Amino acid sequence: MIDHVLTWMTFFPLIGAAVIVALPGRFKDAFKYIAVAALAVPLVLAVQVFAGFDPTLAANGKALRDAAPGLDPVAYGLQFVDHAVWIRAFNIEYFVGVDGVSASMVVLSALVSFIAGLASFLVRKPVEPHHGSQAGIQVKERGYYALLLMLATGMMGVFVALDLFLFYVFWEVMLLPMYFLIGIWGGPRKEYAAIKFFLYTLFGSVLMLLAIIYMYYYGTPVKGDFLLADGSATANRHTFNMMYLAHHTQYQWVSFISGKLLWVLFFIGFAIKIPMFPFHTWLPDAHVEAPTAISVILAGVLLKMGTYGILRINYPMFPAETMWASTAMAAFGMINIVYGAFCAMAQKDFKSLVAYSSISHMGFVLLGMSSFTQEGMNGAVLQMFNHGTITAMMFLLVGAIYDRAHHRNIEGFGGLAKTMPVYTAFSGLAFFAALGLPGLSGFISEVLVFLGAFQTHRVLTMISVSGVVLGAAYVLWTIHRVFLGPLVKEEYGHFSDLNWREVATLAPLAVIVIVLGFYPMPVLDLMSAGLGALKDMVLAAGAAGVPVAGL
Amino acid sequence: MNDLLLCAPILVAAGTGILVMALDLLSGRDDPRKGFLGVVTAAGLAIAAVLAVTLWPGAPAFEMSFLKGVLIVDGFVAFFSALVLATGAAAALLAVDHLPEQGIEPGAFQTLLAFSATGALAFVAAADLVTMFLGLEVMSLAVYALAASKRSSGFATEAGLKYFVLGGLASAFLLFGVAFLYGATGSLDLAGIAAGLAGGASSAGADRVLPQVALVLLLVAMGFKVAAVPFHFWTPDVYEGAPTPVTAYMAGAVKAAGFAVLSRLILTVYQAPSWGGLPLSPADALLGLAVLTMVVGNVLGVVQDDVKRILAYSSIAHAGYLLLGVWATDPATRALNDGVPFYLLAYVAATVGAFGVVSLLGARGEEDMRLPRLAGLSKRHPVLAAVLLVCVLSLAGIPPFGGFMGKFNLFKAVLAADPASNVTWVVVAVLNSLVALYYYLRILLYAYFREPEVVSGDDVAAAGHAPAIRSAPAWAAIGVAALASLYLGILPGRMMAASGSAASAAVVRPDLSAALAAPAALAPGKSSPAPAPASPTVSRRAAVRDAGRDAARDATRNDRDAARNDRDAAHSRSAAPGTRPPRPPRPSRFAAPPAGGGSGR
Repeated sequence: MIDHVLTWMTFFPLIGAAVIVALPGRFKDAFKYIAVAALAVPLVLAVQVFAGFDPTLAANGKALRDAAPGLDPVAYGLQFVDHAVWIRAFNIEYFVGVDGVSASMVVLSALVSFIAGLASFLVRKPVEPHHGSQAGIQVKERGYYALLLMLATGMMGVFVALDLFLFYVFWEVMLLPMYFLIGIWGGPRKEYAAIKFFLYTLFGSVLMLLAIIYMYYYGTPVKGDFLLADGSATANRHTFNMMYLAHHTQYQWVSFISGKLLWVLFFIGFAIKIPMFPFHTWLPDAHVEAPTAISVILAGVLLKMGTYGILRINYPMFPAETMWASTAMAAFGMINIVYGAFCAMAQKDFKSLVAYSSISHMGFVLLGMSSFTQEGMNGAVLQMFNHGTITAMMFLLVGAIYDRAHHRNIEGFGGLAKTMPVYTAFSGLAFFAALGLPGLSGFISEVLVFLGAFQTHRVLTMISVSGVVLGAAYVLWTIHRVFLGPLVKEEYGHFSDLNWREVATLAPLAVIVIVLGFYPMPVLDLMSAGLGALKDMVLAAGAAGVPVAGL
Repeated sequence: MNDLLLCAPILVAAGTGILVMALDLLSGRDDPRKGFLGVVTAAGLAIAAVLAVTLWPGAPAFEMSFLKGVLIVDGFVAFFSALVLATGAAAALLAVDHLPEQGIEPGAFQTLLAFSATGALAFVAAADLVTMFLGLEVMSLAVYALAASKRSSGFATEAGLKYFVLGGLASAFLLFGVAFLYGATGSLDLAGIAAGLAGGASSAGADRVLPQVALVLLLVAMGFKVAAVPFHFWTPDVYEGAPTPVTAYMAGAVKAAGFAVLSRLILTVYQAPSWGGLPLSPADALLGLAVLTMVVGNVLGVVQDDVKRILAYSSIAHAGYLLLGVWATDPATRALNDGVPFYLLAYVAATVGAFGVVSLLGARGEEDMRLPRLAGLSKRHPVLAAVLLVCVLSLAGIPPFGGFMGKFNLFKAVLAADPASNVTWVVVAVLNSLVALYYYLRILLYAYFREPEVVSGDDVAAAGHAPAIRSAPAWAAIGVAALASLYLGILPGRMMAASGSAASAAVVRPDLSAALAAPAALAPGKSSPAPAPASPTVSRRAAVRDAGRDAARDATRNDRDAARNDRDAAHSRSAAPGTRPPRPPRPSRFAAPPAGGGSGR
């Protein structure tokens, strides 16, 4: 057992990045191994977090409101906490820790990053020497692996940060490596995709920044003082500490600024990341252009940051406003599900089909979150985890076929089941999990979401269920077009099946998909209690109504 | 003795210029070792900077009477002087190997640079408007010559001439404004003018024409110096045409000095928040300039194709954010927004680093810096590309770099000053920084994503394959700039504290000069601690807010009135002891002739 485990998980990849940058060029064959090693360490530590996390220590809403201003992390259900003062002048702290929701995301992030590292290895010579192959990285390896490791640090940081400022810094820091990873190693329209990704996300995050600054200045302690990590009182009685902001702060509203406005600012910032209709257009572009490993991270982890942020910030800090926006969230979730599925059906490009299916699946998360029932919330977070694993598999599979065929046109395939049986088996598993086949993990989370959401948003849920049918339609149609029927081209008969490295990236995910399909309790136990408290908090605040005037 | 010691930074800077001039004469005409002149300049300016930050914060006032009303030294002046001097040192280092490549004579260049920094010190530290004007002229004249120092280039000559003609016009505006202020108040020192204007503003029938005209003239002059729209037209051309080390100096030091004086002058003379009750208040004027500057700077930056021009428009846009910071004073404390000095620091570090990289790329007289020349930079010069990356992202305001902390800090302070009315402008600023991101990303796009076009023979240099200048001093300068950008982004605590204390000293309080004139008269009738608060402004601000904003504002105003009355009383006592009663509390001094008012001066 290691102390400061979250800090190590967050910054160990950064050490790896520094090593890669510092090493002379003649070690360039070692870069990928260093990167994978640096990503393996957080994965091992994630096991410690997963095993050592005590789900019974969840926050209890009533105890929180009565708690004394001195911050006892355990009372908030936080574990593995590291807490120190960072910038004293503005009461900014280095405060990391996990509760149930972030623990599951931390595990997911470590797992997907590691698999993305493995997936970056070169499989075979690329066709276009300048752009590299979609799966393997051959050009400028130093930069690629250093950026990948920085990205891992940024992602992990977002999930563990408990100081609002720290959260924002990690949120932004993660953008940069992503921008370069898409922009340098991406496909033909990489520049457009990279800039679009960056501008969209930054637009959302600057809105968030305004809200953060407002909360800092106009949140005052309900009683006593905000205390810093070392026990001293904050200067000016302002704080970025998320626990204080959520549970011990009352806000003063000036002119047109209200809790609803702040809620919307945060929500737009996160919705762009999810991505929620109508802010979703960056996602297909980014996915289509990004190299395979980066698509895996993008879909597997980055999209979850949006919904995670809503659960971490919008819900506890503005519970009454969350209740106020519940129907809108559910409606957007419904639009995402149905619209994403229709778009997926219309795609010719294999990768953009998977991208649109992501949009559809993230809609389930929104719908479940907006239900404020135990089933719905559990289903939403479980769906975040499951979507991370399933979509990661789907992008790996698309990358594998692109490596062989050098195109992604769905119509251009056919009959691959004959030549690539292992590939077809993994694809079947991933795609059926995506459509929600019982016995695979996607089914459990979707059913939980519908069970929960039906109690709160009856009509919207009924429309959303059609998304499952549409999902089945595009998945089955795709399988039909790609794997069944006669071979369309003679040369496709000579494709080699998956090699050991590809199997190594897919197999762990496949095991998780199957295990969670039968027994989802390991993940559900992790977060169930915490989500229950969060739900109770929102419901209680919603019953009391949106506070109109501050103080 | 004390006075000499306090003047040491200025003397060292001036001495550096003289020393470099002498060394240049002593060394041969074509001495290949002339590069050391730049190192000497940088060392001298760096020593002056260290002296400034050690001697000036919390320094006692000057003892000798002839310096007392001429220079002010305090934390504010120390902060900005150090910034100016450090930028000057960086420019000197950048120039060491840049000048021979461009065929510029180093002796005169480095001498002028040192003298310009000296002038900037006097400009920043001036206590009265004449010193301020002299400082401005010394600083600017040297920069005019520096901008045109590459005599073989038509661009550089054009840049120098343009800067000179427009700069001369701006100086004239400043002088004209000074004259109007003198006419309105009969005083040339900042505190005296402030007291005079504040007195006149509160009386009903006061003449508002003189101060109003003076305000406009001063803003035009200072707007020119800091490159605010609509006084920015020279900026892209001059920044593009001037040798790049000079551009770095102009974008860094001249702008920093300009903002130091702009904020001190406007905030002191027009006494935020009452701002003198003018038809066009300084607040409105500053806000208008700020919004116009950032919008125009950013929008025009988007369509540029030359790195130096992009950075020039970026510097215009940053002037806009800074003007917003100067505008947004807390109604209660009327101190300078504590985000402004830190923002300038982060901006200067990043902008000097970025221009530094550009100056290293301009080998062999090649000063054409269109974007395609950056193509493939990450492959050819990975370290230069990395420095450019850090500096450009810092300018764009992306964490974990200094520019982000600066923006965060500035917007935070602007919002805190008065959230209800300021939030609109912060949103405008934030959206602007999004627009800016586009052109910053374009620079990086060329440096990192684009491959250089394959060409052969004579076109090699034109296509961007020209080797970068090998220069240890310049590498040191840009290295420090990049590291500073990182340091300010990751561990900003110390510099934020320094920024806060510098900002709290920005306004020269009229009560301070009253206290100097008659310490005894200040004691009675004081309800709250008046002059320059020693505690960080924020805590005072919060305390004041808790007490109720309006009450605090009234208290401050009463305070100021009391101080002014004390001062008037002291003044008349010294003029004619025992013969005259103290003046009525609210004298109308706008219309009063300079020596009039019956005080018998």
